[in-house]
Amino acid sequence: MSLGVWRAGERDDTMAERVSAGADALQDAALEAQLAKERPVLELLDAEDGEQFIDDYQRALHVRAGVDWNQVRIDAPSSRAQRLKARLRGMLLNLLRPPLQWLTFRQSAVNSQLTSLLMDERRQRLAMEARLQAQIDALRSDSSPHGAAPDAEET
Amino acid sequence: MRIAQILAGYADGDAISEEARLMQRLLREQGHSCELVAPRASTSPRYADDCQPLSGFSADNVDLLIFHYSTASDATALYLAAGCRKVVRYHNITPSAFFRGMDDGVANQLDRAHAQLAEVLQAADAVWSVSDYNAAAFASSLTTPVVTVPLFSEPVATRAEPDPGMLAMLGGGLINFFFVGRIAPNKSIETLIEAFAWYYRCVDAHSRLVLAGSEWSCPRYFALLRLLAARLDLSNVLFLKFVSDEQLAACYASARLFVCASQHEGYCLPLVDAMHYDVPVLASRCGGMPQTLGPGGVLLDEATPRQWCSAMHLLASDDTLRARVLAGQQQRLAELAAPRAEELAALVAGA
Repeated sequence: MSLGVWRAGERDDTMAERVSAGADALQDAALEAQLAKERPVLELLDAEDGEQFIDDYQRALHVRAGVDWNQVRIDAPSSRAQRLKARLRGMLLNLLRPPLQWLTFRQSAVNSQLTSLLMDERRQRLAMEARLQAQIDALRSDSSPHGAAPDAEET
Repeated sequence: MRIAQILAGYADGDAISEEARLMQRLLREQGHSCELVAPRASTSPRYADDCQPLSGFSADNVDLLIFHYSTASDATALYLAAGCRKVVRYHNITPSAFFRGMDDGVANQLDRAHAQLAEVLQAADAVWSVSDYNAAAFASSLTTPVVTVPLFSEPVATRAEPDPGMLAMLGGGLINFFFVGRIAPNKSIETLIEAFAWYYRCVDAHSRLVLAGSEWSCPRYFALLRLLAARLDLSNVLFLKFVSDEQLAACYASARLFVCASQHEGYCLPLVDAMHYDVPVLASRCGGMPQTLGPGGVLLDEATPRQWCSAMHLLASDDTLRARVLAGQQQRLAELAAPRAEELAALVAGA
């Protein structure tokens, strides 16, 4: 598949080349790794039905319950003042490392408790639905004189 | 003439409802009686007085019934049973595959709408399609006359002043990329988020992606987008949810670029609103969008998120390119500015 660009109602190959060249120049290994890691989130869009979506979504949430504070980014400074600011931010971040680690540890623990609870709730609900369905089927076959569902003839 | 417009729903921020409201006004100004009818359950309580419930409506004394068709609803049965002259205003039906898994109820509803489409069209005396793209799907197999009539709309710019609070929130010198629409899977908003991640990380961190639209169109999709933005550490992706006309005006007024990566659109009214605010438009080349934009905007075909990012950068930073695109958009607005009242009068007379 190749990129097409339309401008003023017509195909503009010159602009397509500029767009492609600009895209090729974008390099960020960390972002690429992050995007690759989040691919399962985008794959949720391909779920075939609502039940599959919920299953996959809960799994996606569960493995992402941890808070990763190591990803805090300090933008690259371009001026002297910004360089100073960035150094100050870096120092502050280092000073705050122990309490931040404690906070993120606690928060991650709460998050994973919640996602585990949600998954357990769902498991219980599905089990209850299966049990009720089995009871309904049993009642239907009991109430029919020939063991068939009462509404089977009319359907 | 007594005219009734039947809708599947009537609510704020919905392009079909707004068109019906504007058509009602124009028809009343021309001396017709015109009422709006929609199922009560899908009518916003705010508009309950403006819109009759479907259950109590009879089409017996109606001269012309205009049926806005985009999804399955109880309104279809009423339309099919009516004995008067009938027009289908065809707004397109989103393919159900976009919603399967995200909202199976909506997906089933869209499947029903597709299944009923042939019957609905055959029962009409005329079909008014919002774009050639929509009409192309059935025009060749239909004996009923089909005409393309662009969506009747009143630009946000003429009906609302920008909200000062929202203007302040979106200020601060950051480059704003803006999208508004239903937060639904066919809009491919994840592409915009991924493209913005590249922009934010590799081009300019002093930027924002502003996404406006109700989260209730598809709550699961909305949750997924929030998760994606959070996981990519994109605190500058703003989910504004439902916005008032004044807030919407502020969003357009603050935007550097309007972006729409949608994979399915019948018309896409926000493109026209963006042109009214002289905001360059970058959109995917699909559905009715090429016709809506005409000589305006820039359209991408088969673009990856990185290529979206690159195109966003070009359109946000190259002033010569921006000027050319804006000139095309002004030309398109001039084409769309034809008096609509006369057009509607002619359509009604010919129906």
